[in-house]
Amino acid sequence: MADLAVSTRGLRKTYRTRGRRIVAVESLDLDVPAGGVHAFLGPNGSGKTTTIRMLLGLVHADRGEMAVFGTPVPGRLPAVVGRIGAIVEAPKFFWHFSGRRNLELLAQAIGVDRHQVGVVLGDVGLADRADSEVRTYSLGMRQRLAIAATLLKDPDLLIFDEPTNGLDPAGIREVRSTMRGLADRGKTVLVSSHILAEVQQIADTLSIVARGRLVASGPVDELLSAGGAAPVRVGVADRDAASHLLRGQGWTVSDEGSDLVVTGATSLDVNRVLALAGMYAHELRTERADLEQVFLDLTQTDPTAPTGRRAR
Amino acid sequence: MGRLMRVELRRYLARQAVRWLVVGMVAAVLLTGFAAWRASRPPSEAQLAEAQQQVTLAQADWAQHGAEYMTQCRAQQEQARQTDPSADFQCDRGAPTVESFLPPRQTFAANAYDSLGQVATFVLLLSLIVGATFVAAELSTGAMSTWLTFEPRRGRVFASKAAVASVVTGTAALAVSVLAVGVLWVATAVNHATGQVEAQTLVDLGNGSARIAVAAAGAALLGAGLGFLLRHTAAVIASVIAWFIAIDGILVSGLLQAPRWAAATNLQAWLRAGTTYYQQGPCVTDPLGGLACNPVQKTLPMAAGGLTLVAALAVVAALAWVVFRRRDVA
Repeated sequence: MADLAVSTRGLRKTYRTRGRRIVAVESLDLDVPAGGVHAFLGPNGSGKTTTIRMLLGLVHADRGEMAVFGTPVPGRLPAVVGRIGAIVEAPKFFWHFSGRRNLELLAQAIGVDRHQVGVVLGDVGLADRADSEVRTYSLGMRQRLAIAATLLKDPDLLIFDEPTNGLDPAGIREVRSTMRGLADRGKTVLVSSHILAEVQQIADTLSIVARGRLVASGPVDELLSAGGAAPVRVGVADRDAASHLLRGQGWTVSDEGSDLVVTGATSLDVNRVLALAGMYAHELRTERADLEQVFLDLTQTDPTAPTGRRAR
Repeated sequence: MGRLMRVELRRYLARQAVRWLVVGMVAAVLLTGFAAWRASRPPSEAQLAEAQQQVTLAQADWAQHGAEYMTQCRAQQEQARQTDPSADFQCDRGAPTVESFLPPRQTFAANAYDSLGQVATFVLLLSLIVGATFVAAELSTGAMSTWLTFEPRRGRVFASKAAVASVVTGTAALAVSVLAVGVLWVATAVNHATGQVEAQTLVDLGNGSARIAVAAAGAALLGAGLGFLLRHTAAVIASVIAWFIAIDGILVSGLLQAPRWAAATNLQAWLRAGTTYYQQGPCVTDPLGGLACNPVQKTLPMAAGGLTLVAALAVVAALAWVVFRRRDVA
């Protein structure tokens, strides 16, 4: 567990709502390697936020074990909380206090020098509005303030729960680059999201949960290639002859507009066969599998569709 | 813990709600001072003229029927003393005087203690709200979850919030009480109506202010505890009002006939250095066959009232702590 930033074993959490008991997380075994960006993916209501809340001691697990950097939590959370910076769902601050005052209170609570508040506000581009009341901030500014709050501790593990919810495209890009930048500085970033395209661009590893259970986990590239060899898109002048030739190799070939899409072969194989026959491709590209397709295959659900289960 | 307390103190003092409630307390003091100033004013020329007119008529009537009135008065007093030996109808007052027809005039010496009691009602109510909003606002907005990601030891978080709410509110209440005494003095002194202020009067006012401060600290702690339990300031206020009406008024004092255990009785005993209340006494059958039940007056000492309140407060605080420790925080 020493090289794991986060690990859970047999984690379970149920909520009681209107007399019914709803399972939010069930037998969850999660491993987040130290360093890099780890995406925690799942449809809405799959138990991502509940898991994060349990890690942070905000929600009590029914059973199971959790550890952060090898330290059991929540039992020994105070010993390791200084290494964790977290934003859970929407950033929550005192609305009638300025951004600076909010951070000063948090800094004072953990014994961080007040000077550091100005530094982190500058880091997230809020120096100009630091003395305005938080209630006047846009959602993006509040999100940046939350990131600044997490940076106060200079933590080793940053947990971002749906960090781009409600942000405009510029804000999304900003948060994304912030997360990647933190990982590049040696931090571990655990980001939960249901927006697949967002995490595909920055994640090194990922875990996918559905209905409270882990359905896949590992490096992003491995998961993407797990579905088989990636198709190869070929642009060639004599499409009919090329198609006939490639099919003769036992590969599957389909027409897609002006291109051929070959599955069952690598781009190297395709190129060699065409060249030996005197045909030269003007386009030859291996198409990466889409994380969304992997996600749909694994969870058997549309990630944006409501699941009919509630799990915070 | 000291660091957490300092943070909570900064947050407490910076809260707008707290500032508005302090303004409310000061406004209550100024209103009480204004009332004292009005009530201590010397009678106006018009009031004097009217009183003079009234007393002239009354004295003329007295000259004719005074002896008869005194006889009637003594007879009624004698009858009253059969059930209450201490009954005194002041039958020997003699002829009416002009003072009898003038509105009573307050003095600092005679009325400041009662006026301070009126201020206490506002101070305690506002202290309860301050304590409740200090905790409940954080829980209802979700800021508590942010806070707990920085300080996950809930025992410390609970203790620092409860301590700051009660100690600072108690100190503010003491300042407001002292301010009230000062305002009452000025309000009556302007009208040359301070009266004969003895050392004991000042001691009583000092003790009264201290008891208000302690009660305000308790009210803020109660508000904070209920804030942890109910998570909304409005719910705290509603539950306290409901308690005083349904539990204190209807159940304890009415149906159970046990006013000794009503919160209001115990609070009164603490604030007024002891109080009296009436409890249903033994019932006897009267000559006409009806059942007559005479209430019995009982005394509740200050210490007994205070200890009862402390015990109740301890129960609420313990319950709040257990719930906060175990409950999931959104």
